[in-house]
Amino acid sequence: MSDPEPIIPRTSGDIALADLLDRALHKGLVLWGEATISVAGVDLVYLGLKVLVASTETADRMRAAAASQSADPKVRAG
Amino acid sequence: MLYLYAVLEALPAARTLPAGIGGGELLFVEAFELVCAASETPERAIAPEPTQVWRHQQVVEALIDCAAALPLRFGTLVEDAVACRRLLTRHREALCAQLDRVRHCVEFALRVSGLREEVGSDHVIGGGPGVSYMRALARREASWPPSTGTFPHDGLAAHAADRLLWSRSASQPDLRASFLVLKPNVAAFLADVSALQRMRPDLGITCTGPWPPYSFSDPDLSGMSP
Repeated sequence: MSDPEPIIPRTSGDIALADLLDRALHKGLVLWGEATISVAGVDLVYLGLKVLVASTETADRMRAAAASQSADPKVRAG
Repeated sequence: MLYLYAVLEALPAARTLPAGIGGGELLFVEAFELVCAASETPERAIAPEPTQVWRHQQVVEALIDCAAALPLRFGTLVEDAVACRRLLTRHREALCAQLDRVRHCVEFALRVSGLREEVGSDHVIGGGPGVSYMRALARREASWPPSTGTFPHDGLAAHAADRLLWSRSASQPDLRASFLVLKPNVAAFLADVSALQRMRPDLGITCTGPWPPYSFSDPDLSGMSP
């Protein structure tokens, strides 16, 4: 039986794409605080405060709720 | 918004760089001895489509040819240059230490398939079929060989400055590892990968790269492991 061909590393093709997605979406530097990892359609996190880790959807809901409260004169007066 | 690509230790020398995500021109935010490569975008969320991820990758790759760089995770946005500068300043020491770690290095990804897993027999102690199934699953998870224990040719690590073994699961049964390799050691590392394939023709081995050092760039500023 002949020896297998030497392995040539690749940066193209399906496996390379899978490896790149693994790395670019799950690894890489995370600049905590004031930076949002914002990827549409994927459940990622908004890193605002060290103690606050919420989904972007939750963060959006919180932001919307805060905005509607501040726009409501009854709330402002209270 | 600013989309961020990489933290660099110096401004890249004047050269043609690829356009950023959405076609925006690259700009550089400086703070002390650090530089962050970015481009402006009106978007507040970036779709993780292959074309976008490849664009992120192309930009990072072009930057890394110019200077040591820490690639940022895909999709990182900040409000503006002021916020970006604040982040660079706040994390200056950790970022500089991390740049030292990856300088002159590239990352290779290795996948090894075809390793037989040992799954223990299913002894039912009590409960119905559902309980038995859940126990079997729990045992299977517990007995899943950790990559550290079963990586078949640990000698590869000798050519690497660092190594990261990805966790395995039923949906990701292949052994996956990231190797941080100094550029002068790349040929020896790849020769060893080929030697591994010769020694174990029963295994399916794929190697991709060289990549920017994504797996070795996070000094865990969040306090959470990625």
